[in-house]
Amino acid sequence: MIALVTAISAVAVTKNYGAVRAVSGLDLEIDAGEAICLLGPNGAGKSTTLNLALGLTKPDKGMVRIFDHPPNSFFARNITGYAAQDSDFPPNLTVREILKLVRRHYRRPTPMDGLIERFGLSALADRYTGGFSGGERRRLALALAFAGQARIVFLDEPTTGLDSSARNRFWSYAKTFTNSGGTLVLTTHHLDEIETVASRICLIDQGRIRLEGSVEQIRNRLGQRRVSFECEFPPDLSPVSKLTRNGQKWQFLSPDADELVRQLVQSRISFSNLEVRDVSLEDAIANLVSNKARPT
Amino acid sequence: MRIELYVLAAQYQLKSLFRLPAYWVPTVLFPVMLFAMFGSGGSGRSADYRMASFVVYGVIGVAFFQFGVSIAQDRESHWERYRRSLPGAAGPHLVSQLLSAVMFSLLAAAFVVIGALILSAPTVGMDQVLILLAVSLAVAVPFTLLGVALGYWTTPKSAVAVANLIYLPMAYLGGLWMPPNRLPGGVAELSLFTPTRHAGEIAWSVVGGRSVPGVSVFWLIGFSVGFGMLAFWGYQRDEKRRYA
Repeated sequence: MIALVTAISAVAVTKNYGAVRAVSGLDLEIDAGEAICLLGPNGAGKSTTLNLALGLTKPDKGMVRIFDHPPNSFFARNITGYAAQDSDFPPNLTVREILKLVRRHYRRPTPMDGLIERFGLSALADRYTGGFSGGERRRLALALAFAGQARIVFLDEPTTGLDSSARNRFWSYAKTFTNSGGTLVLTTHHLDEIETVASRICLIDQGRIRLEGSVEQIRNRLGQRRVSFECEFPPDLSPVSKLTRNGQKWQFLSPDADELVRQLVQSRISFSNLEVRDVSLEDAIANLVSNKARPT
Repeated sequence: MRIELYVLAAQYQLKSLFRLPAYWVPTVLFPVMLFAMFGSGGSGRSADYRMASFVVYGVIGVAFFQFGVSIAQDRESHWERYRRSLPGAAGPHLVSQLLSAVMFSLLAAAFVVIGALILSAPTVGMDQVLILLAVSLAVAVPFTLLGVALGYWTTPKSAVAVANLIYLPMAYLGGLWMPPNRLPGGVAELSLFTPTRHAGEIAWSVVGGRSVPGVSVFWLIGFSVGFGMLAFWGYQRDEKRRYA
């Protein structure tokens, strides 16, 4: 039997910035080995949640623990890595020097050569970071997050600005990391990233968790399929949970796609390009959120 | 293992400053340049006093500018925020800042001493010069605190300008560029209320072979308390805003 170890726990955490409630009564338990993805609109409280877990800000109410230690303790910091959404570095130091300096902070630094190679920094290793492009800065920031053999790594929009090969390489490394017991907490707006990396999704809006579950669970919870076709004007069809239109292209979300298609054919109107597909994660999330937001 | 981190942090701090001539050329060479223009040429006791003035000017200038400007700039950087998320990062950072300030101060002072040996005829011995350097570092304490305060109360863009606006008049009023007794009437009276004047008085007493004036020490302690409070207030305000 594998014992689940709680890596991060947040209990009833509230955080205000002046009059703005950034996080409101947040409860979250993350087990070791999970890859959890926080998503939500801008200003939803994702970055504040990361800052609380990193000990860069303190909760007004509630408690955050990293393996049962305060997030700003040496113990917690020694086993966590972090890459912020934006990064800059001392402009007059080289990549190798910055890596060396950061590694030296940790009790068990990651071997230098592997780090440089894994994040595609070989060609940059002896350059000053001063004139780096966004993608180059991001690669260094990611390498730093993994420089201390951290057991928990927090990444705020990790692949923004990366080209597709760097992104794929990062995704495959992220999976290696969690498979070997590492815990990954990331925020992202890219749903393909979630489908590739995340084991669990946590949707945050207005400082609260609106929705939580595995990628599969969230798809299934919706239990709907997407039917689309082109025509002048569609007949009355049911059951339909959502109808959208783009020019002549009509798109239905339905809990019973087969019945919908049967009705469509029987109506004998002329249509073209019929498609029946699983809902995308994006549809699932948008739909579940709008259902939850609806007053009952 | 921790000691290795301290050494590496200090080493890289120095390295990155040395790779930035726009920083070290003015801080290290301006004092000797100003000395050459305004303070050289004397002989005997007067040459000693002038050398001491510019040594103090160089040392406290580095203390004031380095802390003021670097804090103002670091405060807004992403790197600073990242650095704080690392285990045990505060100590090595502080020590490397202090160490590099001492290094650059002593370099600036050494150039003034060399300039004085070439351009004028000071009479002080090497032992007195060493005492002068040590005393200069001690009187730099209130200016370091003023620099820290400046770092927390200005923005990265305004820090250098504000630092110059404070430091240059203070150096002049304090009699570091010309002896206080040659300052114009009204200015000479103001002089007694500047920290630079009291830093100068202490340095002049060292090269003059007199005992250190207690009044000036008292003044500098007072300035340290005042600037220290201003620095702490600014620090707390910034912490609250960014990391509370």
